[in-house]
Amino acid sequence: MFKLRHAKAAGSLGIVFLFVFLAFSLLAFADGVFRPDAILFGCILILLLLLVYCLLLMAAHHADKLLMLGVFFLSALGMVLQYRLSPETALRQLMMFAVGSVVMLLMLLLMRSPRFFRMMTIPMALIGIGILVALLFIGKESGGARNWISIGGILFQPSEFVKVALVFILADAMSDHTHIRDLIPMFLFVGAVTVLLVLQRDLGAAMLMIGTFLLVFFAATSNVCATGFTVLFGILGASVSYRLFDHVRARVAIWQDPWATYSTSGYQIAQGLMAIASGGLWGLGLGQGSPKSIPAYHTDYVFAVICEEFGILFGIAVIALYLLLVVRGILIALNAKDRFSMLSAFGASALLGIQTFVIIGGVIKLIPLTGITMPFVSYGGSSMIACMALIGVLQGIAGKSGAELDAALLEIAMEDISEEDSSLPVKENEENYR
Amino acid sequence: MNTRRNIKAMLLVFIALFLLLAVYLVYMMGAYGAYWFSSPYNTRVRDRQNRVSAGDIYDRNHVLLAYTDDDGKRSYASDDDIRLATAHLIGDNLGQTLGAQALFSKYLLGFEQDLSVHLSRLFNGTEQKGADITLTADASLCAYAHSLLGDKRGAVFLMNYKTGEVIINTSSPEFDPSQMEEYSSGNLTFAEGSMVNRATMGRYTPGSVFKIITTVAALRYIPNVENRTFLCEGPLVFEKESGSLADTGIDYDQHESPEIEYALLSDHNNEIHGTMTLEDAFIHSCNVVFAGLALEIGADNMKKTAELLGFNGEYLFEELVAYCGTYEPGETEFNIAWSGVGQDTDIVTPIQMTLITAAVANDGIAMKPKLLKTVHGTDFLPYKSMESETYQTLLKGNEAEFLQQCMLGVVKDGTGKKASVVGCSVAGKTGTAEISSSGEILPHAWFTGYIDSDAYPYAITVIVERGGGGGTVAAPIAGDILAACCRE
Repeated sequence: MFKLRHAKAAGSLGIVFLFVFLAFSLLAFADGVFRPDAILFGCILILLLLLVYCLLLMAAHHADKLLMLGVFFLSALGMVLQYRLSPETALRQLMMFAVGSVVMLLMLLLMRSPRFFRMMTIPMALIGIGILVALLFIGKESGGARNWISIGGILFQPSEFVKVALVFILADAMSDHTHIRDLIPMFLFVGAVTVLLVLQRDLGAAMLMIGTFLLVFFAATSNVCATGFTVLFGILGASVSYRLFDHVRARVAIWQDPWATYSTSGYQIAQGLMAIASGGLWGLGLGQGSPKSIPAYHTDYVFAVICEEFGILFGIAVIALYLLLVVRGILIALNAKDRFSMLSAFGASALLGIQTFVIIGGVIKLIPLTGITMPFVSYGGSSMIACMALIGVLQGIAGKSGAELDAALLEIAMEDISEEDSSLPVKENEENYR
Repeated sequence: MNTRRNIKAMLLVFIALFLLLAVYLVYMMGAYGAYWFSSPYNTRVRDRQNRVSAGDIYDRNHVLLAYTDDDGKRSYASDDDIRLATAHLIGDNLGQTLGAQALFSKYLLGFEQDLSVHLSRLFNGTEQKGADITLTADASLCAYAHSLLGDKRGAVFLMNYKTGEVIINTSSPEFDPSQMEEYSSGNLTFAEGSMVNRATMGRYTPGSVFKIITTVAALRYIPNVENRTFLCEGPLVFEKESGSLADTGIDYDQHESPEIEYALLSDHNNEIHGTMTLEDAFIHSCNVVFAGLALEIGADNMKKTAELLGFNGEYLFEELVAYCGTYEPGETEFNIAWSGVGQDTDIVTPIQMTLITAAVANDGIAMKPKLLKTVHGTDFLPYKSMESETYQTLLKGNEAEFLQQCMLGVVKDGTGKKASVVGCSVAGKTGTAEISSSGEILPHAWFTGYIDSDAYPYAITVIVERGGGGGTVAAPIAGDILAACCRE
């Protein structure tokens, strides 16, 4: 049984490798010119994935393999697309993936003692707010949002790291208290972060934070009234900002009819829709489309590129793969042994899920578009590292609860041998989950 | 307080959200994908034109309508009559008109090909010729219909009401698709309005052909209306200022200057029809009866019926771009009465009239208009054959049957006698749409009808702009075309 599971995971890993190999072979032979660089890049990527996989299993025997494979496939897909669009950015993305993997392993090891993160929440909150305030003054503008910061020539997007901090802060505040009165500091933090993000015009990130907060808050407190009130407040805030800010109004108008303003603000959405429509069911083929006509093709709009070149069916498969990540993440939360781990795992999964929904929904015109990245696939170091950190959190919790389960099973087995009494000792831990 | 239960519930929420993403993606691409793809903004199509040799377009009898010649230039049928008659149907290659060339460019330029072709292209890496397509249209019939329009502006649309296949779509004035460079360099100028496919996009005042819609509304909202008798004793009189129906018994001729105070709704040539049934009124196209019916039905119910028949909506057919009409009667009784006989602000397109007539002929069911027959390689072996699809059930109960009887009567002894075809049973409705109150400009001549036959299930609409009377101008054209169809 145990071996079979290993074999299955190895088989799936083989499929990821096959995809990478085939895709880079195609890229190597595109336009009738042989480019050995692409093959080399593909081989390096395969070796890196294999290395990360082995290190993960060494660090945590019970890490969630399916979750990891999903992340591998999405990251690999991202790098195939980046390579097709521009080999230089693909190389940078590969480096960021390597850094992200290290961060993931680091988080995994640190999650063995959740106490560390619980001590760190207050400093994290203060640093997070500090950076966001600083951004208002020294931030660099890009794509209509003032949300970049340059340290030593390297650009960061601090809101990505605030996301990770938010998961811990929410989990920490709500694992001990569930009464509104005791949660006021956490409310203040979330409120401050949202306001700061809105001021930077980073509406996507603000939406993401509020959404994650709502889901974790509801899960932890079951407080329908307060959740409903927050949703109502959010709607009120949204309608007020709709009245007050031109750029919000413009976004909604573009969403309703991107073709009306094709030559100006609707251009991006219309281009994205045309790209998806051009791909059809099966796609035009890797390298056969012309995705560069879509603004932000390699970051926010990468889903349109996927649909153009790989087809709508593949796009649906990608959506399903993200759902797999969310489902595995939530299962990890349900199996967690303590409340802090459970809420952290749920927060991390919810955040990834909402982020995916918001960006894909925006690209296919289901909801108004807000510029955020598509986890693991979009080009962007901060996003990649932050998402990998969240996966590290999930893997740490999965590894820990798996190890504890093993220990408990071993104990039962020992008791079985000594005295034929098999009452389950797991029962007494039940209180911890509630 | 049960965190686990809540988390499980959230899991379901996420599954629902992601399903919504997938379903919406498929729905949007199914409904609008073809339009977005063929949008003139889609630079991919233009790019591809420079790299791929676009496929050929044939009509249903394998007459070549468009092809890419050896120098890579897009060329069209060499027969002038056929080329000009099918200009709107095929469209130009600059994306100025949304014809078959633009809408089916995903096949013609190889965006969507047979999977085996797709795979072989991936492995060879070479660009080839796109797929060829065969249309349902009959080019020689299009040319014949176009010749009957002569130098008048107008359009003819003919479809098979059992399968939805579009056989004739021709519009006048036309442009010459083989001279696009000359037009853009200014050596040749387009005739005014020649880029519009009048058959699918021409928005016209319907006149009496709208009485079909008023009849449907009457059957729906006035119980037992088909057995009632009506009295036509001359024009309806309306007060000009308020627009409401004037008191009965006013002796119009006694007034000194009645046209200042009163407005009239009269019949063609001020005819007085006397006592008759609804069917008679339809056959003789009595304005007074139908205006009275519209008032009795009321603006809201008239509008509801019209909207169920496709007015004020949006046509999203995959294979041709079509507009539908609008029905928004004005406030006063005068406006509502006129709207019931197809005047006032009523607007309809020839394709919409054809769909309604087709539904009458096909016992209430309108088939989806279909222009693409097969997608195939040079050997005519299809990769893909298009199936007929039902569009909507437009008429319910006995409505279709009653209208069939009425429309057969129109051609047998009513206003549409000139549309009759020897050896065929033709049904239809004429229309004479007044477009100026003074009568200086000739009215639009309409005829919409069908052949009542399983062997030749064709529904047709003819419009001749400023042509004159529907019965005298449009009906004979329709009769000639239907006769030609039966000879095929």
